[in-house]
Order: sequence, then structure tokens, then C-alpha cells
Amino acid sequence: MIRDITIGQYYAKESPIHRLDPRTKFIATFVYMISMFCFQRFLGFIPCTLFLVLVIVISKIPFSHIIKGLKPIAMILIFTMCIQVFFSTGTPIVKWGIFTITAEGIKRAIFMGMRLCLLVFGASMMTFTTTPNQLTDGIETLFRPLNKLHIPVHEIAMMMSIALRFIPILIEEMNKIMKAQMARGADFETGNFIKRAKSLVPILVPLFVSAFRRANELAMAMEARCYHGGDGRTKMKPLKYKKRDGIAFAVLFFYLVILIGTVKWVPMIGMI
Amino acid sequence: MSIILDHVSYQYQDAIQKGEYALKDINLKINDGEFICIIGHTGSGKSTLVQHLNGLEKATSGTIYYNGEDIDAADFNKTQLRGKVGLVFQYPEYQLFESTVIEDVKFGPKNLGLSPLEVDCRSYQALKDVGLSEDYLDVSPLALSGGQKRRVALAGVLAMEPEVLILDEPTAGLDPYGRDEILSLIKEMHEKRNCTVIMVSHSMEDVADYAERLLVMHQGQIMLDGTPREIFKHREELEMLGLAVPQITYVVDQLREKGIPIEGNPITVEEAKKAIWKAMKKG
Amino acid sequence: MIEAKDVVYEYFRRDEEGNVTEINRALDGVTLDIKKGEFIAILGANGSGKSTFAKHLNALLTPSEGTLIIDGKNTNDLEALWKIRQTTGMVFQNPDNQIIANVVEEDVGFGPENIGVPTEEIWERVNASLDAVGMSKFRKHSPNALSGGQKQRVAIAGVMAMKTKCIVLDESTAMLDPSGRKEVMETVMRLNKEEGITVILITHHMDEVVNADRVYVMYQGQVQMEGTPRALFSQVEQLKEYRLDVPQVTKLAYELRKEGMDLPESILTVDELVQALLDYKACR
Repeated sequence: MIRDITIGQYYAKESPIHRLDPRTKFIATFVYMISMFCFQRFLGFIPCTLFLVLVIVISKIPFSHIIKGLKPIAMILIFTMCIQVFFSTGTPIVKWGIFTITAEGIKRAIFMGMRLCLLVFGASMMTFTTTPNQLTDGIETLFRPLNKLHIPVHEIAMMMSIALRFIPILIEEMNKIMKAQMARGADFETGNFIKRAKSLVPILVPLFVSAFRRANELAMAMEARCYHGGDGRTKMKPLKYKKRDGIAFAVLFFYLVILIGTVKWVPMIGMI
Repeated sequence: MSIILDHVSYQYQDAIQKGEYALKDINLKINDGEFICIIGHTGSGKSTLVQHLNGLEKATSGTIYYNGEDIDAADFNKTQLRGKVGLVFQYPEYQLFESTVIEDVKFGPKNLGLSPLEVDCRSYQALKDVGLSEDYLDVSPLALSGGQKRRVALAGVLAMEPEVLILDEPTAGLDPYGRDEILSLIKEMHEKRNCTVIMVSHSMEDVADYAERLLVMHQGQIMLDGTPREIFKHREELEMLGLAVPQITYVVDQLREKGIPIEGNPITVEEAKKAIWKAMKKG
Repeated sequence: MIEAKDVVYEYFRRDEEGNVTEINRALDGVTLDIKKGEFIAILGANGSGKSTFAKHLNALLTPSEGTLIIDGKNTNDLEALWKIRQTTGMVFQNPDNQIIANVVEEDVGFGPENIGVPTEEIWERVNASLDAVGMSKFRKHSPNALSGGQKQRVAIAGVMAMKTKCIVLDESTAMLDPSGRKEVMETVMRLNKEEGITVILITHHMDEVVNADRVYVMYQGQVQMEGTPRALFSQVEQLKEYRLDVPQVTKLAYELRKEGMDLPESILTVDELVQALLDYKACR
């Protein structure tokens, strides 16, 4: 059940995209997502989609795997689209009770749906091709200047990476505790909301106790291995921009030029 | 009264495509009042097997009967089954959650829907049986020592008064004294409450001392099934599975090879002492 | 290498207002002396203070009274803290709670990173340490995909990568199955023999200490017995008093001797017992 949540889990493949510096991928993803909000016309989706398809093809990740990433957000997607369909003002097509469906509403719903999908695909391309470690490393290096503002960048990155390591361990532990309580006759499946919420206590209390114990032991183990924050620390795998990162930035720049060119200069074809 | 496993197989969701089995075609009858030990490597399927016996895991194929009833039938009451087949997990102290010891022990019997009086009776009795003094009743379980916590957890299952008591490595992490305490407690429960005991273990020495019947598991299958005495004769087979027989068995085997006739098949220190004494004095 | 003199460690239990309600003496005058390159076992039941003492060896805890000198440095000296932690490395009980990184090789590099070793040297150290514990094959793996014994070997490699002179195994085998325990024991014994690493093994598994140079037995915060495994294991009754046990063959030999059979004291292995019995038979 919890195993199904694979949104954005690293997908091991040998590809130029996988080899890019995590900072490059982080910046590119950020830029790509912003670019999605730079246009209001359907025409803009053409360069957007083409760029994404290009990246996916180079990354060698099967399309089917990427589509699967939509599953967890399917509900949000449908909800957003429904709101657009029912609550937009414009030329009514169908009137049904208090609901009015307008042509503009349908158009907006499709527009929002496409934008949301592309956003998710774009973001998951980063996580599919970057290990969590590389990602935290990238974020740490990228945001290092914030240290001057007394933001503990290294510590936050370290916390992220430890969280990533312990999530599977705690999920497994939760399953074990759940089974142990079921063996004592606990029932998590029947009853109303309040009863079900209450039945979580025998799982959550031991889970928290265990998480604290683990945190305590981990802190001790880190201390024993001379951990004392980010000061004076060297890196086993320092990040270095390579030639391919330069190429990636160039491609990104061209994408932006084409996108802006398309939405600004291509003459209006009807409403598109 | 018995548990019967009829061609039971189990596969994890993500292992189905790979054709890997966690349990493979298990046929087993567990009789009333037996003391059974299950031994095997990590990943041999022993924990998975015991979790089938109280319906925590559902067999991918095959049927499990408890007293003749199919436990996966739609009208079968799983909660009641779990009261009758009590399962104590590995490191059970990690499941304690109530604010006091007695409340925690009551959790199981309460779930069975017993009357408050019955719940109280059983819980106090269970704590008494595991040898926890009354001073601890209103103490937080978190404040107890490791060995005490484990006994509270054990009492939590005993309070359901199970007919079958299953323990998954009940001595893991305990020191020799704590281990002996828990093992003799289990033996006492077996005799006093007359319940069937199924114990998963890593220690051949413990098995030799306590088990009446031994199941050796490997790669999801039961490789050997018999009394410890019979099974320890298959020394080479056990070694091939990466398991060792008790040190005593090696001593006896080597003495025999050197031409000293040792009678019987001693497997405990006490038995070996007598047998060796006899062989030595015979001249 | 390690000199402890009358080490006392007290910890306080406080009530909700912070008043001390109870003073517990976890260590009560521990004195011992460990030489470089030795393989030492510290035996004790749960709550005997053995783990508390182990944490002193890495200056995770410091003595309330008495002195503890590690490789010439006093653990109460704050200046020497990082030097001490590089001298003695710790491997803890729960394999999951001491691996920090998500990839094996990165975890081994964690210690060297902390002490500011240059990148290239980190790689050299990581490679050498992984080789030394035989885990090079798994360097790119996630720790979650390893068995308990393998995780502990990674933890040992992490300690080795700091170029420590001494490894403290704080009940590192307690949560492992027999094959995992064997794996870890073989690894540390090899490091002791081949690399001359001082090993301090904290345990309650009696069969693991058979190969130790010397054994200390702790009970109620004090060192109660000290000697070679052979000398200690002949004192079966005494060990029982300290909530400990002896290997099955030792127990059998002890029982036979008690019945009046003239066997040598202190038998540790199956072969020794068989030989002793054959000798006995031949004498008669």
C-alpha cells in the first residue's frame, strides 16, 4: 500500500540527463516550471511539450513510467478541472440546476489540466534522474550563500538526507507495530472516523518512541564519528560543473527563446 | 484441536513476477499441546509462516484450518482467532503504548470484547504469571528495564488466554540470565496453561533443551520435521543449510569416531554427562 | 593504549521540577589497562555498566570521578576530544541506527569528511576500508538492502576509514543472527591480526570471547573478574553469580569434573573436550 507511492523515486539508467550536475537539473526544473506560467495561450504548450519529450527521450526513462507518476495526483487533477468547468463565467453551453458549464470553463479546465500534468512531469524528471543524495548535495551547494543570512543550509540538507534514509525503515517499523497490535486483537478497519482515529494510538505511540530512540542513537553514532556540523568538513563527492552542464544551460536558453518567440510573435490563430 | 496447513504458499506482491516464494507448498499439522521450535536462517520464511497461523498474512494459495475451520472463510472471526492463537513478535517491547503497565496488558483482552471483570482477572493473572511484582502495575512501561518490558509484552498476549502461543525469537537481545528466565517462563506456561507453544529460534542449544518437535526451514520450505533428537542426526544436511547442531552433538560424534561407544543420542548437557560417564567407566 | 583509573560515572534522575530524585552509579571504580594490539572482551549482563564504559572510550561520556587516558590523552580534556574520537571508533548495537548515508561508500566516507580529509584521500581511505571488511562489492548499494551482518561490516569500515587505532564494539552482535555474528567476529579478528587494530568487544555472548586475549567481567558497575578466557571459564559458579553463562562444552566438562572425572580445568572448544576425554580413557 505504501509501496505504491513511487512519485518521483529515482529511476536508475545510464543517460546524459542522469549524469548532469544536480544543480543544473534543479535550476533547469525551476526555470521550466516558471516558464509554464509565462503564457496564457494553448500555443505555448507546443514548445513546452516538445522540450519535455526531448528530455524524456534523452533520459531513456520509459514514457509509461512517467505517466504512472500522475496516479497519486489524479484526484487533485480532477478536482481542479471540475472547479474550472463549473465555476468559470462565460458563454453558457449547458445549464443544470445551479451548475452552468461554459465554453470558457472547458477551455480553462483543459488548459489547467495540461499545465498541471506538465508541471508534475517536469518535476518528476528531476527526481527520476537524480538520487536523493545528489539532490540534497545540489541544494546544499546551491543555497550555500544563504549561510550569510544565518540559515543553516548544511544542517537542513543533512536533515533531508537522513530523513530519506529513515523513511523506509520507519515504514517497515510501522507495518511491524501494526501487525503486532493486530495480533493483540486491534482492529483498524471497522468503525466510524473517531474510532478509527483512536485505533491509531497503539501504532503512533510506539512509532514515536522508536523514532526518538533511533534519533538519539543516530546522533550518538554521528558524534562518535566526529560530526560537528558543516564547519571544516570536506566532501567525498564535491560537485563540479562539466561541459555537459554548459550544453544543458544552452539548450534551456534556446527553449526559453523559442517559447517566448512562439507565444509573442506567432500571430493569433483564433483563440488558440 | 489442531492447526492444519494444506498446500500453503505465500508470495510477496513484488516477488510474484520473479517467481519467488516466501512460503512454498507448506503442509503441516500442529497438534494440541505440542512444544514446537522452528529454526532457520534469516529469510527462510519462519516469521512469515507463524504470521499465517493467526491470519495476519493471507496465504496466496492453499488453506489453513484452525480446529477444522478455514480461517480465510468470509464468516470466520479473525479477532477471536488472534485471541486463541497468540503471537508474540520479535522485540515485543516495541509495541507497548499505554501509560501504565496494567493498561497495556488489558489492551488484548479488551479487544476480544470480554467483560471488564474478566479483562481485569486475566490481566492481573498474566502479570503474575510472568513474574512481575504488583509494584509495577501503575508504572509507565517505558520506565522498565529491557527484560521487564519484554515480560509485560508477553503478559499482554498471555492475558488473551491463547490456546496456542507463538513466539518469534523471544530471547533476542537478552543476556544469558534473561534468556533462561524467559525460556523457563515459556515452559512453565506450556505446562501450567497446557497451551501449544510454537517458538521461532536461532539457538540450537535452546531448541535441544525445550522443543518436543523441531521444524527446520529453508527458502520457504520445511526441510526437516521431527524430534530434535532425530533431526540432530542429520548433521551434514543441517550444516549444508548453514545451521549447526549443538556443541554436545559434535562432542558425541567425535568420540564415537574415535571408537568410544556412546549410547543413545544425547542432546542436552545433562544427557551427555550421563552417557559419557557411562561410556568412560565401562573400561 | 587505554588506562582507566577508578572511573566513576553517575547519572541523575530528575523529577518534573528538575530536582534530583535519584543518583545512579553506572560505573563504580573501574580500573583497567589495555595494551595496543590486544583483543579484549568485556563481558557483562544487561545493566552491568559495560555499555556505559564503552561510551567512555570514545568520550561520548566522561567520568564523574577518576581518570581515563586514551592513547595519552585524558578524555576530560575538551581540546583532545576530536583526537580521541579518531583514536577509538565505535560500532553500536543497532545496525540501522548508525548508518547515516543512503549509499554504502558515502557512509564510509562520512567520518573522513567530518575531520576534513581532502577528497582524493577520502576515496583512498574508503576503498581500503571497504576492502578490509570485504564489502567492496556492495559499495554502490543502499544500506537498506543489506543484511544485519553486512550493515555492521559497513559500520566497521566507517570506523576504519578514520584510521582509528582501536575499535570498540558496543554489543554490535546482540541483534544479529548466528551467521551475521560470525561475519562480524571474523572481520574484527582479521583486523586485529592483520592490521594490528586494538579490539574491545563488549558482549554477553560467551562463545565470542573464546578467542580474546583477555576478558574483563563486569557486574554492578565494577570489574569483578579479569583474565584469559581459559582462566575465567573454569569458574562456572562465579560467572553464574554475575548472570553469565559458559559455552556448552565448558559446562559439560565442568559437570563431568564435578562428578569426579579427572579432566583439565577450563575447556573451551569441542576438540579440547574430545581430546581430554580420550586422554582420560587412555589413562585408565
